[in-house]
Amino acid sequence: MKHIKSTLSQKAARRLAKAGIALALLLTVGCGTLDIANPNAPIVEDATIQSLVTGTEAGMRLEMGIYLRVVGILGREVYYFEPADPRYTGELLFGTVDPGGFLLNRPWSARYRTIANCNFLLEKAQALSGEEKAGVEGFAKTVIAYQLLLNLNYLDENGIKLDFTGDLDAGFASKADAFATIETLLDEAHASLGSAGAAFPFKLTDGFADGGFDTPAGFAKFNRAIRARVAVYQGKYNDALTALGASFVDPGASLDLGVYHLYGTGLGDQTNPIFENPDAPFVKLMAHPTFAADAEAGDARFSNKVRVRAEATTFDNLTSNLGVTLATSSTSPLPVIRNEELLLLRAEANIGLGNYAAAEADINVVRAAAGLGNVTLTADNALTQLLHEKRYSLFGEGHRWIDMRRYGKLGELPIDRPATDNIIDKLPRPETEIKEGG
Amino acid sequence: MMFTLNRTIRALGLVLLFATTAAAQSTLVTGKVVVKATGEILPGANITIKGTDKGTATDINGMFRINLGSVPEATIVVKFIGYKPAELTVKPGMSDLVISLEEDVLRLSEIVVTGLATSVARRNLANAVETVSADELLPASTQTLERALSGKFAGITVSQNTGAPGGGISVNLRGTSTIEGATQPLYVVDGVIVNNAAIQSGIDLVTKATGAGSSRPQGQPSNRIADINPNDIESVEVLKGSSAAAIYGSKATNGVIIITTKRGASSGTRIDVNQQIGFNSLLKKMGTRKFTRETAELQYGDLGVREFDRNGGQFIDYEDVMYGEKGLLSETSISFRGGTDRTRFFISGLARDESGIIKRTGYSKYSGRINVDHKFSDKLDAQVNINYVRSTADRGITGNDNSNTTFGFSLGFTPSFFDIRPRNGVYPDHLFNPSNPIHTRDVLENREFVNRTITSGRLNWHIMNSEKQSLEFVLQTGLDFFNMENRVFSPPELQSERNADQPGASLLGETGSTNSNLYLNLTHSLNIKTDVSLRSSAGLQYENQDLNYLLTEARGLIVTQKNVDQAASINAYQNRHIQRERGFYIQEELDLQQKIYLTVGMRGDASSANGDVNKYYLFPKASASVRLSEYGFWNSLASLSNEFKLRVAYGETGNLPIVNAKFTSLTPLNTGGLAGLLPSTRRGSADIRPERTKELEVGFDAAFLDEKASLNFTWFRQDVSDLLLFADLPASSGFTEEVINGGEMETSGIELSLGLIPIRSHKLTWNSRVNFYKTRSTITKLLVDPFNKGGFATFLGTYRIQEGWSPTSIVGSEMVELPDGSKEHKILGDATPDFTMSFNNSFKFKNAELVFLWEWQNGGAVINLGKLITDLGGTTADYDETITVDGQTMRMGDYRLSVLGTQTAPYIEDASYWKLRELSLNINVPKTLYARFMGDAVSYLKVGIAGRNLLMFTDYSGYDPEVSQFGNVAIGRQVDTIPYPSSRSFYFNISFGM
Repeated sequence: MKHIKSTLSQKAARRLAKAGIALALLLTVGCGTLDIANPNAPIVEDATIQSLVTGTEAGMRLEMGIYLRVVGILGREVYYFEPADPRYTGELLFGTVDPGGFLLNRPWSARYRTIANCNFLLEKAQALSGEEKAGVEGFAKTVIAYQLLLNLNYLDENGIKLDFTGDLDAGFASKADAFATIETLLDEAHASLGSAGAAFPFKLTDGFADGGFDTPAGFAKFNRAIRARVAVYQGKYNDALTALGASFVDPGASLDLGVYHLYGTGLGDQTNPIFENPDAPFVKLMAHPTFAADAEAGDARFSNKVRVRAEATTFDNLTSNLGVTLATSSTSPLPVIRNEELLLLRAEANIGLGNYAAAEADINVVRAAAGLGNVTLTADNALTQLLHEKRYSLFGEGHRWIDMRRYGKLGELPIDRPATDNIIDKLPRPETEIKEGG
Repeated sequence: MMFTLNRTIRALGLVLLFATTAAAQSTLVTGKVVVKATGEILPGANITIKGTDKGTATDINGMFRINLGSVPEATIVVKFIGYKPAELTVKPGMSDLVISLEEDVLRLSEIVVTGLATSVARRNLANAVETVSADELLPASTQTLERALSGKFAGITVSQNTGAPGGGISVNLRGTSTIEGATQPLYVVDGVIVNNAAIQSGIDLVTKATGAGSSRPQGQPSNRIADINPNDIESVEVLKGSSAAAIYGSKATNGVIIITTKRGASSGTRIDVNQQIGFNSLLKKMGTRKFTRETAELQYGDLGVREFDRNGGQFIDYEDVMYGEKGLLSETSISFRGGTDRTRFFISGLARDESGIIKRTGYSKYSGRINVDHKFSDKLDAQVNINYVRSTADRGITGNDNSNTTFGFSLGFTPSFFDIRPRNGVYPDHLFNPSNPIHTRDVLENREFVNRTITSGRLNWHIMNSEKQSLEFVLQTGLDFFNMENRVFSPPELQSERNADQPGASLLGETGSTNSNLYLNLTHSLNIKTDVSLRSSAGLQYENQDLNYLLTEARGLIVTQKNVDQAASINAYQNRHIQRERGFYIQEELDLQQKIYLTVGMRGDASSANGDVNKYYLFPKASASVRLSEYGFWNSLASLSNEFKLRVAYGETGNLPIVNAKFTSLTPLNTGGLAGLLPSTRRGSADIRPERTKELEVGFDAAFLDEKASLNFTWFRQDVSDLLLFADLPASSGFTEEVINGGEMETSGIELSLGLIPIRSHKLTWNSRVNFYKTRSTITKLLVDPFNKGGFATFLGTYRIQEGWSPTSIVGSEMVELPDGSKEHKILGDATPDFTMSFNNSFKFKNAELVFLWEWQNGGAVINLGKLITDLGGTTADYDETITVDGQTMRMGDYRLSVLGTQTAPYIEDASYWKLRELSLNINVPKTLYARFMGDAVSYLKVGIAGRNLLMFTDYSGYDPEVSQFGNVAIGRQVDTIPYPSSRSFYFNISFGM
């Protein structure tokens, strides 16, 4: 009996061993390749023109919350009371900005990331022909120029990178060279848009479409609007007026007509980065107290953009009772450029050229919309009046610091904590863009 | 012949006593097995007849009987873990033998697994491989396995990332071996590589921890080795460095932890039951600022005065309110082991439930295991192990935060005079902080829930077995599957949610993970002469990982509903990780008279993670050990040291490239209802290859004074090349980083272990072990510019990787001027301790055993941003102490904040500590006391008390210098943003056997 049992189990053993080896061989063959595609994301080759265009539009919004806060704080338009991060009320007001910090690097990187996407578009466009190619090029180059301008706003005299290869030896282009490149890109784009036919080979979001800027002709007006801003920034007032002529500037139209970043709560979308519930006991983004002190009585721009809170907030020895209400919900759009700015750019160019009457007309359109009476411009008061109007019309939209800098008036900005605070005129070159010790 | 046997008997330390003469006709041999030094009986010792598969084990009274059959004479081998084996020749009919086993103090006979299918006796081992047995592992109960390894031997650093229930623990073996690569050892349980992934809960979507300065996930997750039931473990073997772990190839740079679970025995069924009841309590308080009316005004202005007056300047200790729970814990474990000659089984069950020191937090684990061994024939045997685990952890909301909702941040902004406790069920709005942490604690949910099955099988086929040679085929296969659900629910009524645009968040994470592996091994042994043998082995490995992570974020909730489809908006995140490896190995071992032992081997590995997936990277190894004490010239020294072994080992291992490092991917980003793509911020590296660590270790193992003292010394040096680094790309390229093989690092260290048995008598035995461990790493080459790693920003303290520096150097705003006039960052501290020591003592006195383990870390540094948070909130305990700088006297808190931006040093603290890791006192209740009631049914009854982390002495001002906001990263640990505070646990336990 025992003998039989043992034989049986030896047979079983052999069968099992064979089965084991067979299984092993099967697994060896069946285990599959090691060459596995990235399961999480497509690669560049897979992207379509449409996906890259929409990605570019979405990319233009990236980190704009940080950008607007930083520029707003530097221009003493706003405070940002962030309990979890002392940099907004420290570094940005003290005066030495960390070249490795996120306040500088995140917006800076996001702009170049969007430019990289535009460069993919330009490569893809090579496979297209005629109007379609021109349309893609017109779109991509305009966006590249606009992204470069935002970074130049940040760094100003420190210049920006015009080489997109990541070559550290390429060095920084001077402010003048940067402006020249931006102008060239915008002008090339404008030419392309002129030969792009009646419609783009892709769809733009309502951020462009609502104002009619989603066709080559409409987009060209946006292109000229940016071009006008670039010209004014350089004091090229005649160029500015020419560009404005081809833009969508219109005293009769809504001052809010323009191009916008859209926000939403959909999948993969982003919400408005500056929106806060104005009724919350504690809000982070608050207007500088001088925004109330300097406001004209009855200026609707003041009452529309801030809410005077019952109780002032003190944080890090800064105090304000002005909650910012620029965004009314987490899906409110943020402007890229709009009619109100264009009117004021036209006024600024005219002031620069001594055409005070023309400037006065535009300024009074803007003032009337805010419920204020007309002003009379003279050589003595024109610039001050213009900067005042820009401050209230474009509050929180990222202009004050740059405007004051252009006219050498940063020294006029208020300093809250004289022991520690200073005025910053430009941000440093990001740590990653320069060689160690460079 | 007789001479040889005598010598063998002496060498093995065997003492034979013939009590009576045998009855002539019987084929049986009977006797009992006892401990030589104490006469204590040894139940469960294995007795086998040499050269056959026949065997038995001693019963609970230490008795055995074995049938020799028809042979006139046979050699029996008696083995018990921790004792030197004994061999003796017996004749049928011998009875009442008393076989004494000598304690194997040096564990020279212990069998240590060194290859994928081979093992070697410790006496010949050429590496410092550590083994921890079940008894040593768990003098005090533990939530998760890794905690129990703390301080057990030199060369290991076990540190928790957070005190949150459910784990989150880093195990580091032999110092820094990578900067960006995987950091945790490979865990192999019964031959299966088990997943130790740390899955993000998504809580950082609520805390917005990733919103400002830092984009990496910061959920402080637990890691999944936590699922293993420590009570199931028979032994843990630790291959600390590359020289020992080379055979595991490209995933073994951080060492390998080989866990063997308990198996059945063919000596009748034995039942062991253990019950523990205890509690957790806060280990250390940070303290808080005591306000006066004046300081309240200074700090908070009018609001401060108003609230101070309104509350009559009361003092509320919020640490008591928040962390003051005495969390109850209970653990019940039961196991059955038994079997017959052919089939053996081990079945165990565990139920553990414990509450944390914060209300509504806790951990529970239910585990069941069946291990079966079956012998089909002399040639074929198999084992199957099945383990099911179900664990739940409620972890609360702690750690870094940009929304001021975590407990630590919120309390940091809560002055002690302001009352946020609920009144009549209403939680007052916090006027100094955007959230009321008491409310958050009482309603927010952060739960992880795991269902896991680990199955493994092993088939041994003894193809051929003769005196001269043997050939064996071993197949090992395993499947580790788990499903994890993360549930985060932040109800809309919370102060922090109420003011959000879409109040309320519900996150649902679902992770499915499958790891499988298959090893095929062939081992050939050849006895060239009696005492010279060669062993050759070779094998193939297949390893697969497939993990799918899906997180759904719903916002704008309908008041009480948690379902993610009932919300105003929804966002989804998915991440898949598919990885495959193919490997082979060959190994040759030579055993020369048990005096010299040589090994050479090589592993080749190809992986889907490499740029070139078809390339096999080769990892060689070689080692040698010589037992000098076996040679004639040692005789003069033998009285001092009867065992002395020199050893040297070399080996190489790898660390695989970061997942998907080779791809340039596009990230979806949508706007206006259209789907968009934007390039990822990381540029792909098509030629990325594994990091390589080459390790040389040299050491000796010696025993002195009749084995009353032993000393193990190891020096090691690791050269890591092809370091995986994120090279910063100038952002103007559109990318911010790429992964490169761009550096070299050197890590060296010494491990010293001194064992002493000052007293060994029948009444009292005192066993003592002191471990000393020191390691240092230096970046020797860097192809990228020096860069910061870990931390949040330079001025908030960060680690810096710079050539010539230790990779764990901490810098801040401070700069120093170099002789050439240029400036570089000043090193403010180093996270790596100067040394660590542990002191493990056990006293056995009659029926009682006292065990305690102290761990001492000297040096090391922590970036204590918790202190910055409380400074910003104005609540740091030492805020009102004064400091005089340049003749100006300032409050300490004001001072630290005023220099922030130029000085980071005030927030860098020393991490030295003394911790009483384990303490246990157990009493074996004498049988006479309970035999009257229970008769023979109960074989032993043990009662005791035990504690873990009972005491901590440190100057560190945070909760625990053992902390890591960023989890198990190589560089960037020890950043403190107020995690879940550490707790001490204290238990009563009772265990008995049947």
